[in-house]
Amino acid sequence: MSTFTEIHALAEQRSALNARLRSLLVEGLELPIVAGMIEDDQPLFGRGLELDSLDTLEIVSLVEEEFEVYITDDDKSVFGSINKVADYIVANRPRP
Amino acid sequence: MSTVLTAAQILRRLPHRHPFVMLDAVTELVPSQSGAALKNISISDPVFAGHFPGEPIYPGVLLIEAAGHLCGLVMADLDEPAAPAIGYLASVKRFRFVTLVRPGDQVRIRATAGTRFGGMTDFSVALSVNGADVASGSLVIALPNS
Repeated sequence: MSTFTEIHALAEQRSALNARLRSLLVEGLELPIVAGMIEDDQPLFGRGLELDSLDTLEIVSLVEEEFEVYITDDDKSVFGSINKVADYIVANRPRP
Repeated sequence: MSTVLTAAQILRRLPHRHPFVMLDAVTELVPSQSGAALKNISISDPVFAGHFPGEPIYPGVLLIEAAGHLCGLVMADLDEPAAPAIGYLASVKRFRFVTLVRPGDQVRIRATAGTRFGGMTDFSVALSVNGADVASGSLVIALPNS
């Protein structure tokens, strides 16, 4: 069973990961918004951030460079939101 | 420097025809990964009638097109297909031109594939003449139904 301290540390790590992803998207895609304005469950495509398929390729490249995680063609739902991208990174990043 | 694909073989792998036949030879080809090609710039190219009268300079936008053709060859099947697939130039990023290209120049083009997703491939391309950089940048090529 995890202690409160361990759970708190995990929550902080996740918060930091989401914040880094928001910054990565804003800087890498040159979005005209402040990173903090992107909500964790806000849709990235369509009526959300209005990203397009070319941005998908850029996100794949950014995530690979930053986290050494390669997003494959198999599951495009990965791009649903910041939280979904973060879930994918947590599940697939190399273990230390 | 040996020829991997002649001009005739390139024509069988790419759908482009005059006046959009851009490459004279492919000198290196690692399918799906990288390639190198040559483009000879001739004063007889009709583009010099207007670009520019009395001051022939090969248009940068056509250098991008030539690099795109090499990217298409890197993505193409190694075997000659019955009908070449049409790849679309989906994005041109961070392209810079540092030296003018003129008639008499032989442009060496190198393309290296990077990230792939959803039928799109990101390429880094670099062009040089006599070892000196003339242009470089990134291209995204989209292959429909891939």
